[in-house]
Amino acid sequence: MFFVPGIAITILTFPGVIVHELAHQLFCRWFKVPVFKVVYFQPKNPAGYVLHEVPQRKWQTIMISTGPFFVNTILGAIIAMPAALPVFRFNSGNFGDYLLIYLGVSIAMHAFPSTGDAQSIIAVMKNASAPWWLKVIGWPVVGLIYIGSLGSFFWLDLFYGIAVAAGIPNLVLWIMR
Amino acid sequence: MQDIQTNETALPAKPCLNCGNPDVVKDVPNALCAVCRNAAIRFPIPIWVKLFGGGILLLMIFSLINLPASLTIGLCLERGIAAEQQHKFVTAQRYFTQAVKLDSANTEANEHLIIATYYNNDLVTFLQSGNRIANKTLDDDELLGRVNALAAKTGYYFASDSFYTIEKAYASADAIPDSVYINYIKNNNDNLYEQTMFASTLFDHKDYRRCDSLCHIILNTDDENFSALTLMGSAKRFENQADSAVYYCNRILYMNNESGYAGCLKARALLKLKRNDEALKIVMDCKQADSTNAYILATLALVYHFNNDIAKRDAVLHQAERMNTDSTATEIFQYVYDVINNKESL
Repeated sequence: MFFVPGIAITILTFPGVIVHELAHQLFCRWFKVPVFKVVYFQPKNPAGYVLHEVPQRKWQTIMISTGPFFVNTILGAIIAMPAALPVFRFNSGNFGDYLLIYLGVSIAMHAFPSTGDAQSIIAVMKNASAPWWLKVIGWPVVGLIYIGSLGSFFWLDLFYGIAVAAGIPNLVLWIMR
Repeated sequence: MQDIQTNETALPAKPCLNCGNPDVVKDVPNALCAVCRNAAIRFPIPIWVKLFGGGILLLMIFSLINLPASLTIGLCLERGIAAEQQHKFVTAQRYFTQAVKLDSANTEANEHLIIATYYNNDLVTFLQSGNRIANKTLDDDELLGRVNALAAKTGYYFASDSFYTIEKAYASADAIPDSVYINYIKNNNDNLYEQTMFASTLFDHKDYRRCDSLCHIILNTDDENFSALTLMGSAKRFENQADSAVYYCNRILYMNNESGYAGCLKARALLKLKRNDEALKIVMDCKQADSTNAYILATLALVYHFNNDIAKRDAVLHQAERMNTDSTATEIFQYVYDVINNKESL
């Protein structure tokens, strides 16, 4: 067995990184938070980042940090969905289907917020003025982000991408049948 | 990927960090004038990212357009397989046909369609589906095993080359003398078609006892043989063994509990057992699934007749006369009229 460096996988799945950073930026724009720098993709760690001001409302920090999780997951699932059944179920996928699966998995696997995102949330949580309900939501989110980050050592992000691309269409079928 | 935040302390005395304008927006973390702040909020997205995002959006639209067809195929397969597991092969065939219509190259749908058509005794569609997946790689070994087993048994429903030559020498199968059948079967007992044909001829000649014993021989080789089981379902009734007729009908219904023909055969046997209510219920269920089938309508007319519901009986016969004009339907209804006029027994 040979070691595949994480950066190689990140380069291979670069569309997901771009979508992730774009989602951060669009959430900032939505909440009218100034952005100072955006790196959509670079072949090193971190593969991308968005430098922005601390939002005035603390819940917006959580939204900006976790927004890409929802955007990447939903986009990845929608893009892969029509190709998932021919590829994973019927074994009759063509080149176009495999391309959609590649994009869907790439986008979904970069859904997880980074530890940098978690640190932004922690900074808000530690602030004395943070309301209790925000802490109730925020700390579990931080915990999940760190679990996800730890899991990425074991390809959890890749498994998540595949599960979104292959699992959601089958889940939809199971519900509708 | 990181989300880095700047949290500089707001100092009213500081000018705009970007342009030096002393008139900065107050009560925010970074000293920026209104113009620079708005510019930062609308931080420009590079053209290549816009193009990339546009491409992703186009793909998403493409996916959403293709999704209904893909989901429909998947749903038809899922619902068809569920029906197949419940031995509801008429429903299963309807779903698999729809899936194949949308994707004729879909091997899984075609394989399941082959299974459903076999149990619906629809051998034309069986062969058409088989041709569609001929020379294709089939991944599901278990499914392929089932298809191959049924394909091997379809030979029982077609004449062998040697018997085909004999058949051609006569005007019809009915015209073939018993001695020809007996001699042929004695020397070639490996194909059931000839035995089934002979059993059918014996049935037509009202020789139910010999038909019955030949069907037993056929069923010893192929216990799912539709022709032999239906012949038994009828022959036993005419031999005044209606209980036994019900047993053979139930064997067909166990294989395919939506078989309209087996349901009607059972209903006729139940009429003989004076279980008219059960018979009516079965035929009504059959009619709900297929309201134009001549055999179902004929059986319904018989049920109404034995229930002394003459008005409904005549209405069904009237409806059937308008709908069914082919010779098979005429023969089916002739039997009903003969029963009504006491020329034939049930």
